[in-house]
Amino acid sequence: MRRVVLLLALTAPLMAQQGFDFKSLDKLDALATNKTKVTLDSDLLGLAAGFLGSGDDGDKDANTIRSLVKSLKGVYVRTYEFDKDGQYSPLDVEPFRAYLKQQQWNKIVESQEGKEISEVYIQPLPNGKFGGVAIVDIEPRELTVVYISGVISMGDLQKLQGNMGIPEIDLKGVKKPNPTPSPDKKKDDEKEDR
Amino acid sequence: MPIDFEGELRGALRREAAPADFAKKLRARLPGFSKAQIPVWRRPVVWAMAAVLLLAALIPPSVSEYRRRQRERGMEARRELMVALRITSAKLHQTRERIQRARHTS
Repeated sequence: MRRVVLLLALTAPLMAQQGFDFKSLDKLDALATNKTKVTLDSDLLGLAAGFLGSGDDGDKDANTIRSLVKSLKGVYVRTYEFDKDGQYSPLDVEPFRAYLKQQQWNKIVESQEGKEISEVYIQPLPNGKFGGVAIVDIEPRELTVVYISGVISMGDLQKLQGNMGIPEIDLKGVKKPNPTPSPDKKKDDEKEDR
Repeated sequence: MPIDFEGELRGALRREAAPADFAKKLRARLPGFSKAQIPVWRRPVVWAMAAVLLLAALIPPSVSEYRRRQRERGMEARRELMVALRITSAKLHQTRERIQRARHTS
């Protein structure tokens, strides 16, 4: 029994480092009419960074993106589009939410408009940086999950605006992460965002 | 005059070291070891040269094929990265618009 507990104690941090298993969303593949799946680990990100600037869409700001990508560990995006309402359950993203909660990510934005729910999470780090961005976007006929792992700053995201087809975003409304947020402060932040 | 058979025999059969070039001379005389009689295709030098030529013929295409595959993987990863960044930005933008709409209506 002791051995099992010891083994679990040793493997738990390793399992946590591996990140969320996006295969849990694969069941939606068959139900979706359109889907976009992006899975880029640090090796592929490094490879992609080496080819920034060689595209035919004019990567004039390749250096900006390259510097952002350099500190990323992984980029995972899943977008599913359905032709009817109710073809998936919002509970399908519950394991992803649970993972973020377990990893102590902070939900900095939560907006609901009818049946459309958007949630933005960050993993707070000191010095105004954060260890990743996650987005859960639930619409009746569309589900999007974004998970970007790696050190990012608000400045990095702002630099991307308007470049290489990325729309301009006003990030002034998005608060900088608090390194050690208290539960009360977090609730206040969410209220303000609403 | 007594004949020293034993002494002469011992002298005739005494162990002597072979000359330094004995083995070389012997090999040269044996028909199987003569260089002139080894067919060209069986000479080690020829085999070594053939191996070098074969490697020289095979390696460059393999390297260029590896580079081509790496380039394809890199371009695909780059395309996926741009898609991911666009989706992320679009969703952040959409979220912000929803929040602004909610503020206006409240």
